[in-house]
Amino acid sequence: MQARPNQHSTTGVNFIVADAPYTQRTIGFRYAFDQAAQAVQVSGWGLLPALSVVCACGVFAVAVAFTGSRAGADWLPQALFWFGLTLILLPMSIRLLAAEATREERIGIVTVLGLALYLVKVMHSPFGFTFPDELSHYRNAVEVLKNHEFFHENPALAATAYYPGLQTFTTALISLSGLDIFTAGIITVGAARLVLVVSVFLFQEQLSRSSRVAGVATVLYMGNTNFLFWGAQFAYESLALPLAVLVLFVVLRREAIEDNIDRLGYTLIAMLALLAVVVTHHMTSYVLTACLLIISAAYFVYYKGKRTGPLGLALLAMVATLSWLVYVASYTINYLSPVLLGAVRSMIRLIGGEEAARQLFTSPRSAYQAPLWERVFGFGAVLLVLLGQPFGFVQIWRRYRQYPAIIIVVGAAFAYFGMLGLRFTSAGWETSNRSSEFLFLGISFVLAVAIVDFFSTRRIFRGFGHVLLAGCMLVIFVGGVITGWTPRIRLAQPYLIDAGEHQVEPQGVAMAKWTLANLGADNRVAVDASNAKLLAAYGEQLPYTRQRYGVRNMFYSSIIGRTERRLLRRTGIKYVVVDRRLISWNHVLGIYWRVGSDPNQAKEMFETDVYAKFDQQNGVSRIFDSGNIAIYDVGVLRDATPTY
Amino acid sequence: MRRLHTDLAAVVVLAGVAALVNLLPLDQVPLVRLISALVFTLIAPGYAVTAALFPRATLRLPERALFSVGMSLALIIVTGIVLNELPSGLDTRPWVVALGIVVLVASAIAWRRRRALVATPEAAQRAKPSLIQGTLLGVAAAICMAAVVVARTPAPHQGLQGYSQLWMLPGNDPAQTTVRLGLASEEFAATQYRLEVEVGDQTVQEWASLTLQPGQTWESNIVVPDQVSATSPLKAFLYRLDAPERVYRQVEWWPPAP
Repeated sequence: MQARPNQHSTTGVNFIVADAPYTQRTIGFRYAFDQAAQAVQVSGWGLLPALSVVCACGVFAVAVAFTGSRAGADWLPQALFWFGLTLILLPMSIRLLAAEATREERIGIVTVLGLALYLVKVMHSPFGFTFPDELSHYRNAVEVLKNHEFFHENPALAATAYYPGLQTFTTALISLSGLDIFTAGIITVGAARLVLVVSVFLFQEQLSRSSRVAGVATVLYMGNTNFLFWGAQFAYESLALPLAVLVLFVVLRREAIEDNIDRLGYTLIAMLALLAVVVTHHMTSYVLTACLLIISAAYFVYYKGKRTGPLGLALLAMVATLSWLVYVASYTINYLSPVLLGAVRSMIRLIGGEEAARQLFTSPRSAYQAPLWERVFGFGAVLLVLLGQPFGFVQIWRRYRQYPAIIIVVGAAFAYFGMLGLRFTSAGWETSNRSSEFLFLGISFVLAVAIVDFFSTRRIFRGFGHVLLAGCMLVIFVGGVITGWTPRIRLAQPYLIDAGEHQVEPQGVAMAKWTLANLGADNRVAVDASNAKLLAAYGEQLPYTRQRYGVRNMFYSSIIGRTERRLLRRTGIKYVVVDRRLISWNHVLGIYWRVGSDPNQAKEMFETDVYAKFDQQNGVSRIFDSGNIAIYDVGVLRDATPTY
Repeated sequence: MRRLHTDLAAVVVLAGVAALVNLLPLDQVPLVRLISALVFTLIAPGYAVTAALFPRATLRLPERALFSVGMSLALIIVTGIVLNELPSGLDTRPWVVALGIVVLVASAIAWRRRRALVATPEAAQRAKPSLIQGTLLGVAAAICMAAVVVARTPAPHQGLQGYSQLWMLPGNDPAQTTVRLGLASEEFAATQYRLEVEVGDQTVQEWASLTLQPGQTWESNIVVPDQVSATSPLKAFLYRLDAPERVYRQVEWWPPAP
């Protein structure tokens, strides 16, 4: 039996407040109550205020956990951290599963939840940007403020300079408010977070015609591996993704109404947001374009050519994205190709037995192995997602198959299975990790439908059963946090140290600022990976690091031979920054005073003949020494005439 | 019935305040500047454009709020692309003018379109929070602010080691007859140092006792001694008086090749 289409959708006001398209044979007692509750639509705050207090207590617990971890405490911060996250998420999830919550309350809950989880990231690094990509984007903002225009070179992450959306908004806010880059960046990404959670809710609601499904789906979306930390950082994707989801919601809303005045309004909003996405982040614009094309194709097939859905917007997206790629940001091709092709090659090698499967929950570089409970939650989260999908697919087939746009979420949910395999490859796991932000839009919908339309209607899951379902949502969220972020800095690490009236920054940060003040900007500097980020951001230098021109080999060598001299001549490097700590070559961990409570870290240094090799060179001035870090002026080596 | 467009008026007024604060030298009102800037960037442009595109009350509060913030983000990004191509570039005044135009034009369109409407379906009544609910929300906000304050507590220095920076750079004179010797303390307590400047085995200058508080910096220009040559650099050795036998920091300067 076909579901009834929504017949009240002439305006945006009351089209939700009406009969949802459920087939008569599937309406059970619980379901009818749900419909009645929604149909009444008594606007109210419900339990939102009380739940906000509980949520805030969770945020406070996380703050205490981070303070303890910075002080070097061992197990207690870990326990407090997870307790805090549970307090933030669990009560809200239980309430969202309840049928009697109003639409306004649900939106309020997901908004508070989204902002609370964003606060967790802010409190993780409350003094300055610490994630590597954040420091890269910091440099973009510096360049715009200095030059009053875009597209100046970014030596830390070149591709970001060609997608100026993030630095545009941030520097506009700085220009008008007088704020510093860090504070303006926090506010910018916070606003983007707000847009993201509300857009996800409205997108899911538009698909399902149910605010209950939307609320549950939004919480499940927060279970993607990048939500808590990676997706909340000061980076271009953090701004582009919310705008892209906004476009998807607006597109679906536009297709559901008939009023031409409002349709025009939605079209213009979608166009503006779409153009903003194109100039803000490459991959998000490609995924958005693909989504719009797929939705258009689905409409074309479903309506047998009489409707094409958002085809006009899809074509605009395609033209805008390609134009930007070709005429402005062609560097992106060189930037993304190795990553994507590497993932594909790694997968092929794995299937062909030429590559060993990557060990999950271990880090070979740091010999870290996740404890048992983390593995249980990590696998448990994936298992719950996989087990819940079939139930969701069945419900989607029964209730939603007449909506062409449903193909997007179903396709994303299926793609998740394929992406899971990439996690076992050495080159593809990051691609798999990053894709979760997009694919979870589909997974969360499928699971939410399974939970609300199937599991919630079973007798066993009524009443206290909601707690069980909310518990499963919590497991998915916790699993996402565990698998999505480096465990050694899951808790906050020491960054600013209390010295009475003065606060001491990490050596690398102070060194970077010293170079700007004393050497000027735009010097070519050979340096390790973590200090390179700091030099690019706070020092405004041109760092050469890793295997670019063989710099890493030079640092690990114990002599300055022909190869090293040739490198210096070719690159024109003027200064070399030597950090004695081995961890400095980890651009995620290297900037902190210490990582974790391991007392042996201080002993993990390069051998003396490795880090002191420049001291043996006549004419090389050692211009700076702060203990772990020394700076050498290698101009004499760079300018020397080769004798071979 | 005459309609009051207080929302549009508020948006225009706030945008005007932000413009005034930025165009006039009003550095003494940082809070006013901050609040007006936040409204001017995060709300006003998007709200005005949304009002212009949806003159009837067909959007509910969540959608209107979403579009206000989302469109503000998008508008500023797109406006920035345009400003980048203009000679004025991305600076305070161009932003004020550009965003001001957006807000004014969109508000004018919204006002005009609203006036042209004969009848408007009323939006659903929104329930205001009760006193208790409002208090609870305030308590939640206060707890979150307290959390941020707690999280911003610097870490204690127990188990960590501070550091001192020593540097030696060519002086500012073109002939490089002087060098600039500097010392900065990022230790956790007041520290006493001894600083020696040597050429070969000969001490050419010495500071027997330098005391620096955490965060304090010391600098001195010294004349390059005649003994400094292409085979004999100028060296500086820093010692802590609580560990006088161990070289704590060292720097050296080689004269440039002739």
